[in-house]
Amino acid sequence: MSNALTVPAATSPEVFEKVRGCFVEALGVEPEEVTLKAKVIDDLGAESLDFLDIAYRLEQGFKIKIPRGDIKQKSQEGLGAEAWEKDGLLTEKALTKIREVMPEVDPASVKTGMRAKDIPKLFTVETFYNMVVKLQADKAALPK
Amino acid sequence: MIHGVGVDLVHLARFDRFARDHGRRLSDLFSPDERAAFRSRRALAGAWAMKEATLKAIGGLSGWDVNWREIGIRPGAVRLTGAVARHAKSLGVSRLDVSTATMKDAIVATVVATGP
Repeated sequence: MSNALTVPAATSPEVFEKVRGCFVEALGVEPEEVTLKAKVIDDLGAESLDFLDIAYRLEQGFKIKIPRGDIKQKSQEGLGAEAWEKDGLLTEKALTKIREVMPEVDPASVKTGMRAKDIPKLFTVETFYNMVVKLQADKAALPK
Repeated sequence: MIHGVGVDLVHLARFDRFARDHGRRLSDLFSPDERAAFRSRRALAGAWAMKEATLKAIGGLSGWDVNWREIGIRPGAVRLTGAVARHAKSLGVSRLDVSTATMKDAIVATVVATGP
């Protein structure tokens, strides 16, 4: 079973526009800069406080709770601490798991020499979009 | 020996906007003791800069994954708890020295992490 944080569905324009609005408000960027493939740090210039700002706006807008550290946790599943990180660097097994957990990210950008603290540098707008769609689906699946 | 040096600059306007828009979520980032010790927005922005600089000085953790309340700030000092403290200890960090520089519209914090 894949543990990817994505839902195999076509992009919802309504959801995407709302996600885009959160990025625009949080970062003060132009709407056209907020594409699914835009990297949150490198392309949109986000810092730690901006990540929190984006997450809080998405949580409020979609009435969801975005779990922090979820991608790191999922990429650690089934790997011991030593198999995940060695001498401060992510192992090849860890990089493979990250590629699996974040299929929206260009696999070539998940490369040898990465550290755990670099994982947010991989985040794209699509990463957040996928989180929203997944969490909405989880919420809808809950018994009423 | 010096383990790492972290520097962070916080623009007061940016922090003010965050605090205005997400005031109720500040408790995710700051403990009641910190809120009491850093009452003004400027002071709280300085505490935030110290948290960010501490994370950078220790290294190995991302701001997305960390529980910010585990980086406890008191005036002129940092106290780590929980997973952040365990991580710092595993790296051999035993001391954190903090300094800040305040400008009209920004605060810069510098943290030096040292250990045996």
